[in-house]
Amino acid sequence: MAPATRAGGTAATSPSGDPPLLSVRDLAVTFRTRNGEVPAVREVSFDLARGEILGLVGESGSGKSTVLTALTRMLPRNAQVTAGHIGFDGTDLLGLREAGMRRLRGDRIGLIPQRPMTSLSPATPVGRQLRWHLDGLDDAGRLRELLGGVGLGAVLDRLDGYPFEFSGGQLQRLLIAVAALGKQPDLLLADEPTTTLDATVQAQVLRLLLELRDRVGLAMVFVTHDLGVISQISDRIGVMYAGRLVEIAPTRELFDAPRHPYTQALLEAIPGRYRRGEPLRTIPGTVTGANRLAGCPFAPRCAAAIDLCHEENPVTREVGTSLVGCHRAGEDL
Amino acid sequence: MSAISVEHLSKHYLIRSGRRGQDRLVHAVDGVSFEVPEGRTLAIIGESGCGKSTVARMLVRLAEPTAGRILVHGREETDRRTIQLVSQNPWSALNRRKTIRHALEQPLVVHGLHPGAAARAARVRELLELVGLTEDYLDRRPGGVSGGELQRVTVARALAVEPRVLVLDEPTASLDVSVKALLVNLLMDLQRRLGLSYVLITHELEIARHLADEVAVMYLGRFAETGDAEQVFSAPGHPYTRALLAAVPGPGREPAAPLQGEVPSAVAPPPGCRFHTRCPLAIDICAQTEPELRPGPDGRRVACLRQDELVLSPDPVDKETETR
Repeated sequence: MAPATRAGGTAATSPSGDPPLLSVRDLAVTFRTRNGEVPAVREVSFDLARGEILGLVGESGSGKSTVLTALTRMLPRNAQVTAGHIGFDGTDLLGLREAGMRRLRGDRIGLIPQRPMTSLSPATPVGRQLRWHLDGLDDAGRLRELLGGVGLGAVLDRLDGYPFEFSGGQLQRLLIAVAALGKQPDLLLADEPTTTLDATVQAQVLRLLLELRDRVGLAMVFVTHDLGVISQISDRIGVMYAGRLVEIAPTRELFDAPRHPYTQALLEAIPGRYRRGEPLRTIPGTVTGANRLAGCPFAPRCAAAIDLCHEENPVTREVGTSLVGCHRAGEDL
Repeated sequence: MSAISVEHLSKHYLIRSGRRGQDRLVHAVDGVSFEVPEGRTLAIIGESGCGKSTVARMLVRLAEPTAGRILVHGREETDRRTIQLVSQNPWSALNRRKTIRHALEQPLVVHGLHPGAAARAARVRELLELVGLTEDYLDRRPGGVSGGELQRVTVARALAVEPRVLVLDEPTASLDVSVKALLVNLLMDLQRRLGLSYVLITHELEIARHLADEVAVMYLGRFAETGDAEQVFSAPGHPYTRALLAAVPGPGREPAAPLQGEVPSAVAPPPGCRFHTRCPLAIDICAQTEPELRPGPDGRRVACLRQDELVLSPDPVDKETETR
């Protein structure tokens, strides 16, 4: 019973043909470190339609969280957006003054963090923290509706408790209630929101997020390293490697016909695809240093690499419904 | 003879002075029994707080059992060297200030193995080679080495004292997908070459399915189901096993919401069957009588009062549990 938005649309444009809610073009973020400047994100472009869920997947250091942080303009001090454009519902986010950005954060762009425990004050009762963020919560009916909406009706009488008295799954649902239901933003940014949760609780939270999308129509950028999770939540998936978006495709397309050699290798490393005890496919080499390469960042580890791959980063090309950053995209590899 | 046999193992922790000033007893592990045959792998799977890591700690004697026995090759008193631990986080398992050479030499020094600098150095090189690392790593410190390589170092360190059994506590949980695959391959390879037995503690069901011969499903300190891994994974018997497997997200599957609520506290585990508060099939008696693990017709053991009514094809119950 996939929602209608899940099926349609090519990778680049929004499924409906309306102007996209979020439009990211050639985003580049650089970190200043002791070892010089490190390009953490390079030439990342994507669109997001209203009500659409885009998953960003990649291994640690691939830049997926940095993209998300750049969207909220909350990058650490040593990081800087060095190029690109972020359009959000007609507004140029990068050109906005801090005061204007503040009005968007929370109200129109919501954030669900990875660790709910560290996102709440440990020394303040949960109920009071809810009131910090949401107006009109003294109305008991509204509170019941809000918590009921995320399956937390049972903790209504415990809101004078502190965060440590709640489980991780409950806190994460509280934050989702604030970010998604309380504020009703247009865009929700979720950074590994289920990574610290148990399997059965993770299933509850994923289901909740999909329900909210259908009910409230919010759009979402969902970042994770978990291919299973991303396959369930996303309409489209972007695969990141060493700061670049190497492939972006509708979910089914990505899993059925991965086009980029890195995506292919990543999917082939999932143990579920093998018989018990069979050796798993691995990717030779290491990602270390790939961010600084002039050519395709995956070239040193890629079995299909040709000379050109080491010299020039490929431009993104459309293959079927996928956008692929590979010189040999479309060839039968 | 089994490499390990565990009989009625329990671990209860006393927590002093809660907020209301009274002592509380955490039933981390409550009377579990299992065997690991020589050269085989037992996976213990379950969610956080189910007690699986406490079992691991007791096996390597980092925690003293409250009750029960652990027999290694049939004997209770054995050399600690026989069972070694590989833990989840290699960064916290190794001393940041010491070189990898130091990490690998230390167990040899402590146990008086391969005496003499030259013999020790040779053994250290051999260990590195065993896990597929080169000598270049010897003088590096953990800070300059990637997580996957570092986890190989902790495996090499565990192998230094020539154990027969490795307890692997979430060995791949902190690793990226492609690096995970490398470690899984290494573990399979080492088991074949050295004839090791593994106790694999994990919440990553795909990893468990790939490595395990037998599996034990743990919930709130007790085993809900044990049996042949292929059998349990392809047709789970216990309602909890079914819910747990259904919750694993994967391509082409709709997200399941198989269970309501969360794992209850181990301080006051529910009476009767510990799973009855969340079980879609629970009936009145489940809240009163605690089920024992009983062997079913196909040899697996399930702790469920309605075991005889459970049909072992996954369909009938799944339909029931998947209704919103």
